[in-house]
Amino acid sequence: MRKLQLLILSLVIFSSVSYADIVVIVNPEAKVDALSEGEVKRIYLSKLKTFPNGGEIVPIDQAKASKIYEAFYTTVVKKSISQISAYWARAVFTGAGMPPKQSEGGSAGVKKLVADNPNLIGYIEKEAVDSSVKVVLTIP
Amino acid sequence: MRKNLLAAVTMMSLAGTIPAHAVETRISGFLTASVNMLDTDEAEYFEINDYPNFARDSIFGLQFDTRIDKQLSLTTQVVAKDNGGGFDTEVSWAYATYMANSNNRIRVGRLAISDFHYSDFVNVSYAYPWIRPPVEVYGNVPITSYDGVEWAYFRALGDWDFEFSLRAGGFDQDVVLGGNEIHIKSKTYWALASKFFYEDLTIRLAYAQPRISMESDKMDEDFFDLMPAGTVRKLRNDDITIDFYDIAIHYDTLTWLAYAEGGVTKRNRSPLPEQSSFYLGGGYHFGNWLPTLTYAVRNSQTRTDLIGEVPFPRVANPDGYDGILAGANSFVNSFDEDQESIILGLRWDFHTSAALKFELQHIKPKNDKNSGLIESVAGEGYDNEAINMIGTSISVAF
Repeated sequence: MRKLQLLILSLVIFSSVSYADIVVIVNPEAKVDALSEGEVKRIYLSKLKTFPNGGEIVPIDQAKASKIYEAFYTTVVKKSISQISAYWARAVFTGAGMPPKQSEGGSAGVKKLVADNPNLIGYIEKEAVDSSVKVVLTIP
Repeated sequence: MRKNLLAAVTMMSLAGTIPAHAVETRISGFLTASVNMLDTDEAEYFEINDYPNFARDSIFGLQFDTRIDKQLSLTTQVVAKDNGGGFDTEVSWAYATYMANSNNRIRVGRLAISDFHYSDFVNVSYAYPWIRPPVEVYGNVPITSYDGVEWAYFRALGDWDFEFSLRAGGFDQDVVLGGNEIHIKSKTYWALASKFFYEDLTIRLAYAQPRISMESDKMDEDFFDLMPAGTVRKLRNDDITIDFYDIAIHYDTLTWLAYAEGGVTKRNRSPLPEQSSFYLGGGYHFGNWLPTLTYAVRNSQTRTDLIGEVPFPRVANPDGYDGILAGANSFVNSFDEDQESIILGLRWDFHTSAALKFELQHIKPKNDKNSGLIESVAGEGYDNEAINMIGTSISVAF
């Protein structure tokens, strides 16, 4: 009975916070094979602006209203939507930086942009990955 | 943060002969509509009384960022706010930024003063938890911009990100402080600031040294007419060097928020007060709701011992000399002001770019001194009691 309760509890918790696996992708020509969660977080906060071995990084966001946007920011960047909005308000109005440009085309749109430009980095659902992009981080 | 269509239209009108593809202009904006009122008719607080006051914290701003190329950009911020006599529009910033490389940035123009943690975005209420940052700390430096240069240096140190900036220039502004119109100017202002970021933690250290002159209607010109120029200079902040120190800590996770900031203002060899102030507090994120509790205090320490060093005229009549000395003591002591307050706040992020805030603030003069910020209303019998202020605001950043 106790095991059943635990199972139900874990299912409830799991279903409330989980999202399909998110992967962070770059162009296959990008000179990077893996990035840590911390590096991706710093890229999306505009603190890390070049790949570990050089080359400008330009992050691309999913639409602010999308579920993957919220899942990515709460899981990887560890900020809620309101916290990240306040963060960018500070950055913009101190001239410290601009938020990543948003792709309205969902994961397919982000994938196409990244496939066409070696400086871009994006995040998409794991299911959407194909050979046009390279996965540098998988977030379970 | 973008209005692409508007940006494109503006770009076309601004760019002139520059090829459109070479220039990208982003327009960002912020708005705070705020209403505050006191629970008493005996006093006023930043012109807020027992009637709903819209002017105190309401502000509208637009910022234009034009990127010429990867290294060079232009920024202009225009702000409309009440400066004591109705809403005025002013260019609060206008500067050029040159990114020499990813570690070094140079700016020239009208730039934000950033003596405090929130100074350079103090107009953007959406970016912080309160309706306004605690005035006990932020009221000590009323200047918001300077004309000059800034060099900023960025680098990562392991998992820490580090930012250092050096600013130099001057300013010449009219401000309203504690009901007094003050004209403040500085020929030489320079400042250092360092910021350290690690995960959810930010630590900021700052030092500034403006050499300022102030003219205020609080100062009795007849009284100063009795004294030689050297005396006047020391007593009225005329060409006085100020040392300013500030430290701030900010910790914001998905759940807990904690913050503290303290600053000290010292006037070099002037009997006018040294001011020390701090606030500390925190909150907890319940989804889109953020309740906060903040304690803030502002203490003054007048240097009446330095009045003896001020070169008073040795007039023939000893009574006259004592009168001037007593007048100087009284004048200096009129700035000996302490206050503390408790701010209970609630922020609700009802939209991805907008927040609604409610605040209850209990403000109290301290140590049997005047508050310095609470003004008594003539004839209403205010006697240094604590006052309460309620406020609400909608703040938007787009």
